[in-house]
Amino acid sequence: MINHTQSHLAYLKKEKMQRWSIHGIRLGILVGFIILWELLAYFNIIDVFIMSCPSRIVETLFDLASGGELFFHIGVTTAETLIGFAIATVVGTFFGFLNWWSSKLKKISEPYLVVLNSLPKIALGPILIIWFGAGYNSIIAMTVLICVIITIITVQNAFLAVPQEQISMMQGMGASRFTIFRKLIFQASLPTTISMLKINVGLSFVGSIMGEYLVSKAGIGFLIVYGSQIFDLDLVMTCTVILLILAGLIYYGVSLLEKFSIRYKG
Amino acid sequence: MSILEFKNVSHIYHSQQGEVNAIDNLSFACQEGELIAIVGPSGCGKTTILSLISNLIKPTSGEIICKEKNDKGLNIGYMLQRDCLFEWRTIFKNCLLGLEIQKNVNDDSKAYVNNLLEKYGLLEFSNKYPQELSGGMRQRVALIRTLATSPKILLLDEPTSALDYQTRLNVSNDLHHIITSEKKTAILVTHDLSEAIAFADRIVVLTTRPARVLNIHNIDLKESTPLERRKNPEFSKYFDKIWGELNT
Repeated sequence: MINHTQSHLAYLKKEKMQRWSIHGIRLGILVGFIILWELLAYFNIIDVFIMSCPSRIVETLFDLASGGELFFHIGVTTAETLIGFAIATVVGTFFGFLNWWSSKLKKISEPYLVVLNSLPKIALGPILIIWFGAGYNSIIAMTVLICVIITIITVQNAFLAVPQEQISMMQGMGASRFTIFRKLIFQASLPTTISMLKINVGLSFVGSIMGEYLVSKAGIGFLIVYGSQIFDLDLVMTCTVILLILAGLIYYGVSLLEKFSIRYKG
Repeated sequence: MSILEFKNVSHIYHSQQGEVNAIDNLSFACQEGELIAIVGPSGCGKTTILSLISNLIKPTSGEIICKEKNDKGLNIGYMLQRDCLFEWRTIFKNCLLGLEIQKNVNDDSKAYVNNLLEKYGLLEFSNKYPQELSGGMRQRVALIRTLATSPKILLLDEPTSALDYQTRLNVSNDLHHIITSEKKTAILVTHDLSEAIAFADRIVVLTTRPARVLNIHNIDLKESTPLERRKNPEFSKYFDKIWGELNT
């Protein structure tokens, strides 16, 4: 047990209060928002038909859950997102690696990457539907398209950002190009690669929901579109809340991955 | 018997902006066990000389005779300005890097690395990560990483210039101690003239670019460590003489 001076104890206490106040205010905003929403609905200040309200969202949630549909739709969207995310990450990292390996290839591909990166991917929706059919394949393709270009660009930049001096050091030891990649480049760019994964999770969600808007028979995006078509705003709001929770969970999962893969303190 | 010899070596760099004549008709020899310092105005092509020795680049013309060099150039250890330690590896693992690359990690080589770490006061930091060490300690680790593959010749490219002054004097002293007690041949490139005089047995003074040998000085100071040598009255005479040559 370390003995702290009076002033250090006071400092620690102040820091602790600070942390708790941040957590408290965070939670307070959420609870306050829900209560305000519910009260406005209760006193008919807002129209629940177009705004819905927390109690009706909870009710809808239970209805969906008791029918078993809820987990089916969540499963579909999660699967599409994760499959798209995995394909985009693997393919993007591979091309990023190729562009690191060959500076000629990097120069050749540069204008293509720039243009494809700026292209609004949703414009390709109709083409995807014709090519891949009106089903999961199109949605996954949409997810991959949204993530893959930015993955290539991020990965190649992370690989190329490794200091030349460290590469020279390994060359001086007689290391081959591939050994340099394995022992240095890959490890050194791991922090950037992981933060890219975090961004990709969000983008994959954009892709799968966008895909479901265009063409689908199941999934949270499908429920949202369906809900809006029959003017069931309770359903739309409920699905939006579910999306928020899903996004939070997946982000948390990648953060865990980050903790395990980067053991040293960066 | 010289361990390394430059015979009329020239090197030209090519780029979009044109060609740069980095070194021109350079000749000098280095004996086994000798500590040579190469000094010259900044940008005169000193690093080019080390890159040529370690076979990272080929000379445009001339010949580099090195009896310790096999086709991979493995008997040469290159130590750079920055320590280049990998933050994700422990000190011990960092020291094993060269051995891993040469696929030569075994109980003997591990014991050798441990022995080096112990001899030079770093054994207790074996399992620490580089960022927990001071700049001077990191540079000593970098030297041990270089020594781990048992090179005959060490190339030191301004190994102390990224450190603050006080640390620099101490690290220079440590490097000298380690290199002489391991009986290595070393070529030090630096623009710090006083470091060169305190460190080396012989100093090769180069001209401005394209680098040519201006003069070669034998440093005859009997003190055994750089810090002691700095106190010798002869030290400042060498300094004045070479300083004069560099600034003509």
